[in-house]
Amino acid sequence: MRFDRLTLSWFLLLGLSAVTLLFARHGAAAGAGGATGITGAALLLALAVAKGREILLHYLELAGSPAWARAFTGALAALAGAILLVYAAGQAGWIGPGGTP
Amino acid sequence: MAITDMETTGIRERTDGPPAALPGNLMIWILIVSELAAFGAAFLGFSVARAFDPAGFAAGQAGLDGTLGAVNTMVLVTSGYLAARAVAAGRRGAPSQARLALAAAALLAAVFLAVKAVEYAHLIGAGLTIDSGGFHTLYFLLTGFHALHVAAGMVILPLVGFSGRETLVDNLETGAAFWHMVDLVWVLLYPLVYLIR
Repeated sequence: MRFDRLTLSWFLLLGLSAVTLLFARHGAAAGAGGATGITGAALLLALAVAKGREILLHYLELAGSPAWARAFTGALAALAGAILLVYAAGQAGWIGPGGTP
Repeated sequence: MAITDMETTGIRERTDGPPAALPGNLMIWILIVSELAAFGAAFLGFSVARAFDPAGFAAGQAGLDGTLGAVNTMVLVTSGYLAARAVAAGRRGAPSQARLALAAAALLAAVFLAVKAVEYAHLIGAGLTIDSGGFHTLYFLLTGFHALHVAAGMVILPLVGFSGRETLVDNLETGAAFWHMVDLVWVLLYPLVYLIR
């Protein structure tokens, strides 16, 4: 059976979504309202960036424009990194109710 | 399994200057960058708000169904795949196939909105609305703004299918690019709002 790159991207996106779902269910089972934790948040955001990269490269066809592909993927990764940084700062008590005024 | 190269979907290597190197209409890329910037700022705002009220946000998130969110992710990426297939069909000179793929993509957009409606009905039935403050205000704003884009896509996708032969491919590329942007926003919104606690 032959698949083109677009179809492979679709399979990858479904697979990454399934991994995210498994993680979510595991979190709910283990949960009891507990925090995801920095590692868990990093994993979920990495999965999101991986999905975003597939969309950028193969749905939005930036695979044919490597410089733009790097720019958009870099911006997406930077946004995910900033979200993770804020989350980590909150967990560490640097900002939020436990933070210093 | 063998994987064919990019030729099957008509993607071209572009080397004639930065703006021209972007596939499709430049204006849709300006819109995509604007939308991503707006959603990105909102996502950072959501993250900061959570840092100031982690218990309140965790309680709010506990009332959401992460599985429904994952189902909607699969629905959107499948719809995006069909939109990309429509573009490929248009480039091959197969407008009927393109229109069929667009109709299927729009149908999946309706499925996404139906799942979202179930989610909203559950929360509103529990007395949680956009006026509830904290997590729920931001939840309804972010997901509602995204859902409005999905609703717009549901109109845009079939609309571009009615383009004439001369403009069909350009309009397909532009409509599909809008739809992939909606997809891209969701893949970050979902873990941020539903899963990370």
